[in-house]
Amino acid sequence: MLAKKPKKRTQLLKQFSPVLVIALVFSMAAILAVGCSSSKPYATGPIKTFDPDTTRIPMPSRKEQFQYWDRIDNTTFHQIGKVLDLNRVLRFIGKPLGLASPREADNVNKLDDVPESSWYTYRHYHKPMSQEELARGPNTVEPDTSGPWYIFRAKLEGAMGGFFFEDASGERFLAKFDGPLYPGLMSSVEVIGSRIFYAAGYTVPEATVAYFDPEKVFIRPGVEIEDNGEMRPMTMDDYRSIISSQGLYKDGTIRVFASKFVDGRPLGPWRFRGTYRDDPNDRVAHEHRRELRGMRVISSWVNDTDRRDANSMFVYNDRGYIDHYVQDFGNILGANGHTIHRPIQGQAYLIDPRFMLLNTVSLGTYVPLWEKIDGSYEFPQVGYFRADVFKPGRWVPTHPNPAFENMTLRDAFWGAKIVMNFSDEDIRIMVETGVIYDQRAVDYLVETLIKRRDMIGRYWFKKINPLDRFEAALNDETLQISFSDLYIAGNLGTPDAHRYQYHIETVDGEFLAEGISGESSIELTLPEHLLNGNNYQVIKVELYTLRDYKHSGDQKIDVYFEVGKNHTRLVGIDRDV
Amino acid sequence: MPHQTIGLKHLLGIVILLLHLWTVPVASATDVISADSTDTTAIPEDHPNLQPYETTYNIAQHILALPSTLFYWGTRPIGWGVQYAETRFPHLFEGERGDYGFFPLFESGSQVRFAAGALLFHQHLFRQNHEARIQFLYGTDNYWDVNAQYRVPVSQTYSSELLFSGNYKRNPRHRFFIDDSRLFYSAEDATFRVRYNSSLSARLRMQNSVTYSNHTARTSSAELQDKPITFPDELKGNYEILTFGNQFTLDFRRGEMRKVSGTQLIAGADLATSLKNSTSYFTYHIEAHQFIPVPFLPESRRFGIRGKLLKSELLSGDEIPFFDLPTLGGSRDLRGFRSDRFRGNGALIFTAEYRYPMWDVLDVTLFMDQGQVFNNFSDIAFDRFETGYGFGVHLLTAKGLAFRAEMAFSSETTRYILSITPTF
Repeated sequence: MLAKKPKKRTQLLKQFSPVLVIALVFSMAAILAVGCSSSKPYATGPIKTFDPDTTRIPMPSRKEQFQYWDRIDNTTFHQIGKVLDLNRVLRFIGKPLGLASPREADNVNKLDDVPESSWYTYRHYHKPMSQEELARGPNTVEPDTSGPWYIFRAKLEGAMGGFFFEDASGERFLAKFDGPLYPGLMSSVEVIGSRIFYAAGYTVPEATVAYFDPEKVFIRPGVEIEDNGEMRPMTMDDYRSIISSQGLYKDGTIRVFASKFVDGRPLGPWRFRGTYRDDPNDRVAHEHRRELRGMRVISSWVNDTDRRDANSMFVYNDRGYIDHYVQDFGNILGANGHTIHRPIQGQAYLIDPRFMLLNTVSLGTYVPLWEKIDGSYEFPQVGYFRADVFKPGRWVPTHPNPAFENMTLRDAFWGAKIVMNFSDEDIRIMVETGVIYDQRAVDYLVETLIKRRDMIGRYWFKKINPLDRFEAALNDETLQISFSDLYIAGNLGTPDAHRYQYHIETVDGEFLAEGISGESSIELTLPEHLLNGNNYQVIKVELYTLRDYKHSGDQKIDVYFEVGKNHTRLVGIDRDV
Repeated sequence: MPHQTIGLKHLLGIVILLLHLWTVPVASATDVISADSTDTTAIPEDHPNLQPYETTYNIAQHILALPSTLFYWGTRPIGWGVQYAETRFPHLFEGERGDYGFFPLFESGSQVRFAAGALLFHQHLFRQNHEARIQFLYGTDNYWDVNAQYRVPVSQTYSSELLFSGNYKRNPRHRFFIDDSRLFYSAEDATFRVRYNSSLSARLRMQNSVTYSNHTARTSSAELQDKPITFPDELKGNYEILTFGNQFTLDFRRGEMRKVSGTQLIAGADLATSLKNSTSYFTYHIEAHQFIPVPFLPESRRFGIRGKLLKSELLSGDEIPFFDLPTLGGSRDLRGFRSDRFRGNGALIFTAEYRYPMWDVLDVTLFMDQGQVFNNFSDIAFDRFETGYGFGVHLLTAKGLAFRAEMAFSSETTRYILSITPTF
């Protein structure tokens, strides 16, 4: 028996070639390490603030919009495809074991921020907007309601009734009507949504609430409408049918949401996944763009449940590249298009295998949250929009969105800081652009948005160290570092109970200082050799936040400053997650 | 051979190792910023703002994503089909029927193992609200089922209607059981029916009908002639029957998509007479449905109970045609057994179901059927009940069941059922 044992071991070893084993181990390590960048966490050159995706290109072909395939694909095939993607599966397995990290976004600079591009513009967070700018949003012009409107195209796509018109001054708009049971609801949320997303930095179409005289609308020759699958000329009867469900205001006008035609040539919707093959400027997979991943938090704030491919738009602009629009805000806040949101919306996908499995195996004894709450509402012009049932970390749109699904904690922080940056007054100003007549409804909407904003801050800022807006100034040999604690700035906690523990050293490991600061600033006297050397030196500031005198989840943030004689600048931010 | 095997493993290992070496992680998008420069403005062409971000994947990542990639491209043709349908037949996707269109149909668990077809409809054929529909199914063993229906609203009363329907069905392998022996015969049916449905009140509906049916039973090609028992010759032949039917339905159930509570009572009778001989017979049925929500849970979790009694009585002639006798077994009654597994002058069936939501429009159901056939009421006995049980998923629409898929078990067999017809 003893003699046989080595033989068995030899046979066993023969089953696995050493080369094969080594290769597999190396490959596994490579796979698990994918995305773990080994480069320096700070910039030695300028900070990237712009992604040059604005090179002139030939106009790409137009893409058709498929409202339903978009939903089917993301709800079913994309979900199955995710399970078959072993990159994702290995990360999923490796993450709790500490062997893999989440796949971070691809378009993030060394300050953990998104550079500007054809997708994103620095606005309220980076360059505070005035109240007038917040109220104006993307608008440059509003429809002229004093003269006639000429319908030049019927609205065939989408579920909402409407038409395309040209006003007396020659400006072109899309008109969309409120649902007959909820007058004023959809038009208000469309406008409010456009203001919020515009201020957040996205490109959105101009949007306004307008009141027009129904007798001053005419149809241009050649306008066609679909009737039973066939196209035929649009008649005034068709127009009257479209407006028939709309109530008249006292002055005989009809309320409408008017969206100005964008400058350039619309080419159809962009996708929240992959790149657009016809656009050579489009190099970053959309699901790995931070501004799209982080949009999930912004969407969760306003319950933007219909954020999907079909509600986006490529526009080939006059400068010869593509602008990426986010549009259709008719399904945010309390509105769900022509009707109102249901309690399930925002809580689960339209088809959600997670809850389906739970419901099935529990034999019906598991009762999801949306079954416990009623969908009642207090104000018809607000619809169903609540803060008390909002779960910031669990919010999902109605259809799975690949970019949202890829959101990491860093992406979420990015989104949360944009949301938290809106002050109570900012919110009121943007809500008032929705022209809601019932002041109590306005107050309720503002109050609910404030509550949801704060819930977002409390949730995400506890998961990641929310220090931001780092600045440094050099006064002789003294380096003054200041920052903003977004938790405190958002009035989520009192400054008195917060401390910031720091440890400062050069990137070569030379100790400089450590301590605890009660203020959101640190002063440091730099040694002479750092200031008078031939090259600029980089110092690293490790920061912990002590909330109520305790470590806040042990999340560290490393901040890098370049220093030299009469020179200092921020060169890197690395947040622990 | 062993040497060859080890060599292949080595080769595979070397390939993977090379692959790894070839695919040392590429620079991430954030690494394009030029290094080793302390002057932030001197080299504008190297400025990071001129270096675009890019998503890149190495070969290892591509290989690991291969199953997903193959799946993606494998499903694109479905997408092209849906996109085409979305363009050509938008009503199919808009939650409400267009004026005309079609739906695919599938059926399993009835007399045929599997059948597929389509339903074509027109909501306003010839006149407003005059609905026409044609349904056809083709299944295994050359099974055919074609049904045409035309619905006419009466006196502008939407709840009253006249229905004209014609049906042709051919099943070369229709099952027939004598005791435990399974036999086959070839069945061919043609039926024409005129039915008047009316609502007498909010709760009470009445249905009257006249039906002409032509039924032919022949030797099935599936029948083995050397079997000890074959389909009886005396049952073969052509039958022509005229039937007058009447049914009342009292509905106190509550709920739209899901019936969550309340009672429904159905009672009806058919008087049938042969057009070829003096046979006439009378069939009556009584049925009760009760829904009870589970206490302490939302009412969508509910029990459903059904009791049903059918009985045929010969009025004149020799015997009731075998195909018109009450049966048990199939997709609606005693589901764990084959269709028409039990046949007698009467049938008694009890069903208990627990239904609960899996999702918005999906219910899970756990069920148990108990039933027996009998010739006289005195034959009914507790120990003669046959038991079937199972589970299933019901797809619902705003008006009720759209489709159900069930697995049913019994002491004899296991069956799967796909059907658009509700049990109750």
